[in-house]
Amino acid sequence: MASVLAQLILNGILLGGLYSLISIGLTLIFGVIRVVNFAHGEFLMLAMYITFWLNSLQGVDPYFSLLLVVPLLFLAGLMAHRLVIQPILGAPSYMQIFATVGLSLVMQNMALFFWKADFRSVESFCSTTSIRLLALICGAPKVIAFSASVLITFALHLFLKETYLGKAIRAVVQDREAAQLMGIDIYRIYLVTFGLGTACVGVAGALMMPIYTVFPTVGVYFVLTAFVVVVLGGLGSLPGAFLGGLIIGVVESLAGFFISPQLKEAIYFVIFLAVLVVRPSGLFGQIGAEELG
Amino acid sequence: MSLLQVEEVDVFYKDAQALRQVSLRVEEGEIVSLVGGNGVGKSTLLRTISGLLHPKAGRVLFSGHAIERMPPYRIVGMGLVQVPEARRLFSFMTVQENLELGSYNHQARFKAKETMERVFEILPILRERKRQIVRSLSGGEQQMLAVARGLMARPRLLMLDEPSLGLAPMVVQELFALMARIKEEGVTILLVEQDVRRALKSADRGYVLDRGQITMEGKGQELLEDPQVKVAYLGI
Amino acid sequence: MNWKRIFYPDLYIALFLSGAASAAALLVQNEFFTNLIIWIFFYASLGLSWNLIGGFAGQLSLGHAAFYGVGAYTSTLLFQHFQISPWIGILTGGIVACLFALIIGFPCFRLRGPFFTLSTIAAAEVLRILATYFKDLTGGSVGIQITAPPSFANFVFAGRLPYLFIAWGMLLVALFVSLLIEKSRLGSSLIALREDPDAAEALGIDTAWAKMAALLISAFFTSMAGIFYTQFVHFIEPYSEFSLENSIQFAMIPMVGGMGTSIGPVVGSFILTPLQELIRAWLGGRFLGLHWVAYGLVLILVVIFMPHGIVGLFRNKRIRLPERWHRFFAPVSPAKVSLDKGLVSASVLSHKGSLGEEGILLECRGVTKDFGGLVALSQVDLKIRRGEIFGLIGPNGAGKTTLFHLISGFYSPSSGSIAFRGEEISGLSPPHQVCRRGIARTFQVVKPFGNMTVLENVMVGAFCRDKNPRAAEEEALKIIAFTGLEDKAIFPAHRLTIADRKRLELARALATKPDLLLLDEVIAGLNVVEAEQVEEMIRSIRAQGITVFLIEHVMQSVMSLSDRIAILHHGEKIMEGRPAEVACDPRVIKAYLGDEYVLASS
Repeated sequence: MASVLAQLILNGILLGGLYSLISIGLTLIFGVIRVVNFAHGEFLMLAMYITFWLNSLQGVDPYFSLLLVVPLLFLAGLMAHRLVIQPILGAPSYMQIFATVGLSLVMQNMALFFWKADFRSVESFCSTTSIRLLALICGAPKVIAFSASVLITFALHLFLKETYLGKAIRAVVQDREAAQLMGIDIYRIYLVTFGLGTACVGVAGALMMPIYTVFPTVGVYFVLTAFVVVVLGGLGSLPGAFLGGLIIGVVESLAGFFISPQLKEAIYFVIFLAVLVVRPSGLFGQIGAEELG
Repeated sequence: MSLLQVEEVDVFYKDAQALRQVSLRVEEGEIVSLVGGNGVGKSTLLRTISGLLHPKAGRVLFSGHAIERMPPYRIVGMGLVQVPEARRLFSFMTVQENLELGSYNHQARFKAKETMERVFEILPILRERKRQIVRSLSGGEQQMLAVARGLMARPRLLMLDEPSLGLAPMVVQELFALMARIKEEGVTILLVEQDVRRALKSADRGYVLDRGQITMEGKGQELLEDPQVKVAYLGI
Repeated sequence: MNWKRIFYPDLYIALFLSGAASAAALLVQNEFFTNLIIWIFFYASLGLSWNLIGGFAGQLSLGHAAFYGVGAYTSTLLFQHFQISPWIGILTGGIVACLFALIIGFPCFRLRGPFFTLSTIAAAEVLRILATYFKDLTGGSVGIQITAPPSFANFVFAGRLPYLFIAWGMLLVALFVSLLIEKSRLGSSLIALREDPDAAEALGIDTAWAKMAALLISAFFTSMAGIFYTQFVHFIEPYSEFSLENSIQFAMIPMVGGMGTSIGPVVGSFILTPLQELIRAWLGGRFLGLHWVAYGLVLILVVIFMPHGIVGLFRNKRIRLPERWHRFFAPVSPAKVSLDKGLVSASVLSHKGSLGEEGILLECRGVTKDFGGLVALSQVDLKIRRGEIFGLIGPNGAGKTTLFHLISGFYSPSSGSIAFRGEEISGLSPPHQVCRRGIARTFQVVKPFGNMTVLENVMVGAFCRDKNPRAAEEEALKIIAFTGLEDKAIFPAHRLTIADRKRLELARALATKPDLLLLDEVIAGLNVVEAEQVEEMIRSIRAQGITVFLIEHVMQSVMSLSDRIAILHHGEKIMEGRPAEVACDPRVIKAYLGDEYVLASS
C-alpha cells in the first residue's frame, strides 16, 4: 500500500511540475498586466501543434523543436498583446474577459480549420524510457518536463531578481506610476511580459507532446487547470504557481486512484471554488488582488 | 530660454478642472518653490509636467522642447525627473535596487555605477543600508533614498513633491541641506512644499497656487514676508 | 407597481420584430425558416435571462449552462421516471436551478470581475463532469432520447408551429420580466451596483441581496429555456447542456445587442442568430470551425469598437437618425414639478433609539483605526450635535476620509466606538445598513452612475425610502429642483461637468432622507461662484433639519460654513473649536504651514 501511495505521489508531483510550467506564464501575465488571459490554453495548443508538425514534417524530435517553438510563441504573444490586449488595457474587466474569450475562440477554431479535429501525438527518442527511483518508476518524458519546470521557475526567478528588465517588471507590479517616473516604458514592459508568459507556455507545449495528444480544444482543459493552480498559488506569485501546480498534480493523482478517474477534474474544481471562497488571494498572493474588476 | 516653461496650462483630472491657465518658469540653476494649501493642484501640476497627465490646453516646454504630449519615460530621458509625493519607493525591493531603477533610462544607465558612487558620497547612510529592504528604513531615510533615486536619473531639473511630509524637523533640516548641495552640483530644483517657510526661505523664486490658479509670484524672500500667503492657506 | 412605466419603445420594437417574424414564418411555411425563427426567439430569451445578471448587475457569468442543464435534466428525469409533464418540469426545474444559484451565488458573489467569471465556469464544469459520471441517472454521454408520443401534456409536438408559438411566448415572458425589473427598484439597484458598488451600498442598496435576486430570476428563465431545448430536439446529453460554449453563446447575444438594456438581447438575437445559422450552413459543413472563428472575431471587434453593443450605437448617437426618432428612443421625460425648494423633508422616519445626551447625534469615542502597522486614526473623540454644521480639516493623509469610511460602515474601527442617535454603529456592515439608519455620504472622488440619467441617479437614493417607482421619482424630482439640476434631469450622468457631478452626488445622498449628511470635499475643485452656490445649498440643508459633517480643503468655505471645526493631523485630533479660534491656534498653523511659520508670526 505504501508503495502504491508513494508511486501515486511521485506521479502527482511529476504531473504537477507540468501544470506549474503551464501556469507560470499565466501568473506572470496577471501579476504584471492585471489581465486574466482566457486564451492562455490556446497558446499551449499552438506550441503543441508546432512541435507536432515539426516532428511530422521534418522529423525533429520534440526536445529539439524547443529551439524554434519558444521564439515563435514569444512572437505570437507579442502579436496577440499588441492586437487584442493593448487596446483594452484600461477597459472594464468584463470587456477584457470577452476579448480574451474571443481570442481563444478564434485560435481554437483556426486550429480546427487548418489541422482538423484528429488527435495527434509524437514519439520522442525517450518516449518509452523509464527511470527507476528506488522502488518507483516514472517515464522519462515526465521527468524531463518536471526538471524543465524547476529550471524555468528558477531561471525566471533569477531573471526577475537580477536583471534590469526583471527589476523593472517587479517595479511595475509594485507601483505603476512610480515606475513611469523612473523612465520605464510600461507599455513595453507589458508587451515583453506577455511574450515571456507565452514563451513559458511554449516550453510546456513542446515538452508535453511526448506525453499527451494534441487536438484543437486541448487548451481548454489545461487552461482551467492553470487557473486553479494560479488562484491556489496566488495571482502574480511565481513560487505560488510552482507549488500550486505540485499540489494540484498530487491531488489529481490521488483522487484519480482513490475516488474515480472521471471525477478527478471535478475534485479540483471544487478545490478551486473552495479556495476562491475561503482565501481568494491564494497561498502567496497579494491580498486584495481578487478585488479587481 | 528658461529650462522649464509652463504656459497657460488647463488640466482636468477625472473631469474636474484642476488647473486653470497656469504659467510658471524655472531658470537653470534656480530653486523655485511652489506653495499652496491642500488639494489646490500642486501635485497635479507636477504630474502634468512629468507626463502622467496631459493638459487640455497650454504647453509645457523643457529646454525649448514641447513635452506636454510625451510619454513619461521620454520626459525622464530628457533629464526632467520627479521625486513623487509620499516617496513611492518600491518598498519590497532593496535600497540598491531602488537606486538602480532610478537609472533605468538609457542616458543614465551606462553611468549608473558612477552615479551611485556619487550618491553614496553625498548620502553615506544609504551605502550602509544598501542591501536593506526599503520597508525597514525610517521615514527620513526613505525620503533621502527617494531623492537619491531621483538623482540616479542624472536630472537637469529635479522636481520634489512635498518631500518634508511626515518628517521630523531635524530630518527636514537635513533634507533642505541636501537640496542646497544638489543645487551646487548644478541641478535645478522645482520644489512643492507644505512647509511654507522653509520652502520660500531656500528658494530663489516662488509661486503660490490657489484653487488651480497661480495667484502670487515673486522672489522667495518677498513672498515670505507677504501676509497674503497665510490667507491663501487658512482662509482668514 | 406602475405598469405604465414598462410601455416603452423597447417593448414596442420587440413586439413588432417578433410579431413580424412569427407572421413571416406562418406565411413562408419553410421548415428551415421556421426553425430559424424559433432559434431567434430561443436565444433572445436566453440572452434576456443572462442579461439580468450579466448586463444589469454587471456580473459576467460564463456558467449559465449550469442552470440550463440543471433545469433540462430535472424536467427530463421527472418525466422519464414519474411521467410528470415537462410543463410542471419547468417549475420544478426552475426551482432546482434556483437552489443551485443560491449555492453558487453566496460564495462567488464575494468575488469581482474575472474571478467571479472563473468561478462560474468552474461550477458549470463540475456539473458537466458529474452529469457524465452518474450515467445510471443521466444516461451519461450517451444521453437520453425523448421518445414520448406527441401531445400537449408531453410537451412534444409533431409540427414546428407549436414550438414557434411556445418560443414566442417564452420570449415575451422573458422580455416582460426584464422590463419590469429594469423599471423597478430592483433594476435601479442592479444598475447602480454595476456602475459603482461602493456608491450603491452607501445609498442603502443591499448589493448582495440584489445580485442574488437577479441570479435567481435569471437561473429560473435559463432553466426554462433548457427545458424547451430538450423538448425541441428530443435529446439530452451533458455536453450539449453544460458546455462552456453554451455559456459563451448566452453571453454573446446581449453583448453584441447591448448589455444592460431589455431590447439589447432581442436585437442581438435577431442579428446574431441568423448570422450564425448562415455561417454555419455555409462554412460549418466544409470548413469546420470557421464559424466559431467568425464569432470569436465578432466578439473581439465588438469589445474594442462598440462596447455598448448595437443598441449603444443608437443610444450614444454614434449612428445618426432623424431627430424625431431620437426623441422616440429617449427616456420618457419626467413631469414638471413646481419648484418648491422647501420640499426636502428630513426625518420623516420615526426615530429609532433616543438622541442621547444633549441632542448629540453622532459620537465617536476613542476611535482608532490601524491598517496592519499603519495607524490611520488614533483615539479620536468627537461629538456632533443635531442641527449643526461640523467641519473636519487637516493636511493630506491626516485620516479624515478614513473617519468617514468608519462612520459610514466601509471599515470597522480597530478600537473605540461610534454611536449614532445613541445606538452603537461601529462595525455595522455592509454599509447599506448605516445608510438605512439615516447617515448618507458623498465620496471624495465623485462616483456618479455614469450610464444612468441624473434623475435615475437620484432615484437610486430615493428608493432607499420609497419602494414605489412613482413615489421615488417624485421625491427625486423635488431634490433635483432643490439642487438646481432640473435642466439636466434627463442627461446621462457621464455628460455632466464636475460642478454638476458634485451636486448630483449631494442630491443622491439627500434623497435617502438622512439625519446626518457626510460631505467629503464637495467644494474642492469648484470655482468661486460654484463654491458659493454649494455653500448656500449646505446652509439650506441644515435649515431643513439635517446635520452636516463636512471634510473640506477649501478653507474659505469651511470657515464660513461651520459652527465648529475639528482638525486631524497624523490621525489625531489636535484641536476643536469655533472657526475663528481654530484659525489662530498655533497648533493648526504649525500643522499646515510648518514650524518656523508659527515662530515668525507669533
